[in-house]
Amino acid sequence: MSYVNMIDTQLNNAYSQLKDLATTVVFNNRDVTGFDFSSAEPTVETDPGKTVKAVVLKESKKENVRTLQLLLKTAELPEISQFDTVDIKGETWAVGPITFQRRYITLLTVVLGG
Amino acid sequence: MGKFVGLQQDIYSVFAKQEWKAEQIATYPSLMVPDNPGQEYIRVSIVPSSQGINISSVSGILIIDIFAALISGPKRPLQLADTLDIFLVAKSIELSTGTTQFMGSSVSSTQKDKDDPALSMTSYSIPFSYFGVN
Repeated sequence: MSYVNMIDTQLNNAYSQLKDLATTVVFNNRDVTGFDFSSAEPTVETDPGKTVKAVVLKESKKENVRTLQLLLKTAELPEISQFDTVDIKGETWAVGPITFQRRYITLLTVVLGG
Repeated sequence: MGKFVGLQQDIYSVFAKQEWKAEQIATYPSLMVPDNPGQEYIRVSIVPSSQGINISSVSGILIIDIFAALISGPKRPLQLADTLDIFLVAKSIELSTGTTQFMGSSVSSTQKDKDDPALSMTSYSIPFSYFGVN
């Protein structure tokens, strides 16, 4: 087995062992492909949501804005756009900055205002 | 309709024209630039920063950031600025909600784009006054 496959396998094992510490989240991919200046509306393309497992590493709140830092398996992720949203436990969060991304794992910040 | 939306409609109408579309310059308002906008595009920001002559009026500056391939050199952004001049300088845009009068334009020095080092960024700006219909 190659090292790449071995690490992937071990990463899947690690997520399995996390059991309910790993939360199911849904990425809703939305990309702006243009802008109609007549209607002042963006042209938005959406893809069906992609369900992945995430571990919430950190949760914070400042004023009315809540922030989560998610640990994700890079291989499971769709291409993340600045306009994407993530559904987590019935709430829709906006995608924030990717703070770390390597071949195997990604740390993504998501934000919920109000 | 308020003066700010009226102003936005006036300015957006420039970029909705067939003549502008024929220039084939990808144009986006600020905050609506896609993740992969390509090697050449402009980003439009309306800054209605000063009071007008009455409560229905406002003046300010239209800032258009011009992005071009760095390898195309310093001439291409200025060609795009000249194209913008054709549509904006000294032009008066009159819609049912009000009139926008543009003045003369200027550009900043061309810099390497901070986010994409393969692109240059040149800031084009032009003051305007908007006169709303009471």
